[in-house]
Amino acid sequence: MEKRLGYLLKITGFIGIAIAILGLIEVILGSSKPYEAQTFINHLAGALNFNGTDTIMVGIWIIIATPVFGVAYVLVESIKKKNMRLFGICILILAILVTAILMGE
Amino acid sequence: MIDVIQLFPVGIIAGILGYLLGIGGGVIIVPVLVLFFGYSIHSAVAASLVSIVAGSIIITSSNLEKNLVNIPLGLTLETVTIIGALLGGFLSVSVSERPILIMFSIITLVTAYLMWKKTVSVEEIEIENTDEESFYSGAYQDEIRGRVVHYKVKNVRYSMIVSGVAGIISSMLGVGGGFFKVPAMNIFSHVPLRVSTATSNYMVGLTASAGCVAYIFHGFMDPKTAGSIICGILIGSTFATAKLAKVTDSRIKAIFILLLLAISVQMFIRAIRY
Repeated sequence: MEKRLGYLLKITGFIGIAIAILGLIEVILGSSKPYEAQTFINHLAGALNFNGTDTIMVGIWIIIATPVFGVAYVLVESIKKKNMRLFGICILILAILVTAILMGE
Repeated sequence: MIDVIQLFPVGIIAGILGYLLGIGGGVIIVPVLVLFFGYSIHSAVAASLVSIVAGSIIITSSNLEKNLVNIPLGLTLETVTIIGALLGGFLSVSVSERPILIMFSIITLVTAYLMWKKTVSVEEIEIENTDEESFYSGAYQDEIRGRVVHYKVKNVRYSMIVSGVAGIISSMLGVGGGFFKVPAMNIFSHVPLRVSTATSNYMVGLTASAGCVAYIFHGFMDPKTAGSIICGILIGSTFATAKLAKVTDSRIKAIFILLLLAISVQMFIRAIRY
């Protein structure tokens, strides 16, 4: 489980970081508008129009989501291994994370 | 362009310290952004949190390959850490900052002393390899000793209490709770120092990812700043995971104690000036 989880984190995390760096390059090259807080979909649309700040934000959202993907993966593995204690802890963590995100919003 | 390049070293240092000590790096990023670059505290914390997540991902993915992260222990402690962080968010509105700073300074000083005197070595922790597996037991390849070290985690409840308090403090003061979780895992739960820092790194990524969403929704995230520090973190963390795997526990302990003392003094000065 550990090695696969490491692989998942590496792939997802590096995609997010690579997109953020791409956005930073766009900003340095002058292809960006001033930043406005928006939804992920709007940032994605902006990134597809080569707006550097939006591209960085898409990368940032992927980076933020990566640890949550990691917990979801452990949850699936705990079901496969019938490890109910780990399953319960993962459910609790995901519930708390969702609550924290909703409270933040 | 100059801003972008100037922020790289901040990320590099945070990435290296994050790997060695399992503390995330907010203690470096936030003061530097506020004091040297004139950022508001909220923008600095937002950039710091997302950088911590990026660093945690790079370091944890490497540590998982070496079996250094104790996932069941990390997730168990994380539940109380996040609950503590949410509680701290509410408390920070109603409690004055000065007594918290003084309390934090004293606790950090005591933690430094405990790290100096009570750190449990790998030799004291190591157990015979048995087929019997408990929920929190683990084993990892120790690169310095050149063998697989088996260990059994004890007194998880004490580490949970410390993690909850660390969550409250990290939320109230905008610093990571790794300073308390790493010593607690080692001293109370007899987790090898290397595994404690790796597990703490895994945990700070989760805590920071939950924390930074609110900052994004409130418009405090500056993408250019965050992107620049993430670049530095990538360099620092990649260098650290490739080149610093053989740093001895005694050196990690010494760096940790020095950092704790520096933070204790910094918090005390902040309390006096408050």
